[in-house]
Amino acid sequence: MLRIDINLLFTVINLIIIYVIIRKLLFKPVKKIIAQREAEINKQYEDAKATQDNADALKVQYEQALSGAQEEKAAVISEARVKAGAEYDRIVADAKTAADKLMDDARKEAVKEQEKTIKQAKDQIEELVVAATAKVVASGQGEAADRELYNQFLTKTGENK
Amino acid sequence: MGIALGAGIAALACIGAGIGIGIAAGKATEAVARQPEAESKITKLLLLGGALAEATAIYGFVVAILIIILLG
Amino acid sequence: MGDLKEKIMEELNCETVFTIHFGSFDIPIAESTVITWVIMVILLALCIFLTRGLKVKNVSRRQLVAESIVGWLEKFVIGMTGEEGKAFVPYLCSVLLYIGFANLIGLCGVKPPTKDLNVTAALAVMSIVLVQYAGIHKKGFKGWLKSFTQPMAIVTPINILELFIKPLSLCMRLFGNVLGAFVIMELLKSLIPVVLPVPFSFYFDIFDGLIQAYVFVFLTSLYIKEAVEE
Repeated sequence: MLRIDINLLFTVINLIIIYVIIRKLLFKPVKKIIAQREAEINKQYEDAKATQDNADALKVQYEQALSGAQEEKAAVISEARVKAGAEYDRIVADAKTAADKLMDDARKEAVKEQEKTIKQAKDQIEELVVAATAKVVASGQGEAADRELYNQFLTKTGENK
Repeated sequence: MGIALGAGIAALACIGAGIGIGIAAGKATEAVARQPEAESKITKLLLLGGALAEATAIYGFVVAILIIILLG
Repeated sequence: MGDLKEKIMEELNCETVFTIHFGSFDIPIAESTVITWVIMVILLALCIFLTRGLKVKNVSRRQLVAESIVGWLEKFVIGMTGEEGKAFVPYLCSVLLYIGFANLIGLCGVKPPTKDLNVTAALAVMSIVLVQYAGIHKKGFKGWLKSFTQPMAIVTPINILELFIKPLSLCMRLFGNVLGAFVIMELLKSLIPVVLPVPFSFYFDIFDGLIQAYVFVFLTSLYIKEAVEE
């Protein structure tokens, strides 16, 4: 029990062998595999990050394209609106000129008609005057008859008017 | 007879170790009661302190055995 | 009574299993050495079995066990040595495994090799060599010599004495614990061989054995830390 001899040396040698066994056969392979796995996981993370970046870039591109389309749409709409406004203005102007012309024509027509009527009335009056003069000349009856005639004429013309 | 007495006296080292471990355990209990979340750390320290305090008793035991074997 | 004494003395004795005759020298091979060989074979088989066919993906259960054992041991030892002592982790782990197995093998009915003073002395000597090596490696030879005069020149003899006290204390602690547990177990077994030794065996063989392995490694790492830090 209490002896110290050559077995101490044996134990030291055994311990060193145990150390080598543990180090070479347990720690080294397990650590190696853990390091490998870590490297792989890191690689996967990097891959995932690259993919994510790619997707982000694509998204930005897509959004840009989308906003471009929107701008284009707005431009088209505003252009169309301008065009439509111009067209509207033109149509309205056309209609106005047409209406003006129509009005003008109508006015002219009316004036003409009026003139015509006046002329007719004048002619009639002339005729009447002529007739009355003729009558007066023909009858030659006094003042009473003249008055009568005059009144007659007045009434006639008044009715005419 | 004298050898046996000597061995017995050497074994009295157990008293110190017993008192020491008792104090350590008592303090550890107090510590756990005060801070239950630190229980694992305290347990580790208690075991360590117990083992270290126990060493004195072990020395007494070894000395007693040495006396018996070498002198007996 | 004399019978019991004879029996215990016989159990306490570390027998020489066989002797190698090497020329005119007789080299006695003690029981502890043979049991250490057995432990070496067990560890070797375990290591080879656990690390066979390691894969990066689709790990087998065996590999999981191996990885968790290595991870646990590393964490456990690094927790004691700190970051400076990382280089000593494999050695401390092998010492931990060896002492643990050596103390637990008593359950199988053989004498634990740590009951032999040769083994614990060898462990302690290796520990103190490692501690001094760590100090020299860290501070250089001159710095290492100078560290004996720290913190004052007057304590130099005490520091030199400590060089022998530390391994002696390590050695005797382990030896005395295992021997004491062994003696008590033998007494109990000779008193009542059934049932009664079971709970005591749990305490003395399993708990105490593992605690002593832990304490041994802890103190070694403490000494390493002390040697490296100053």
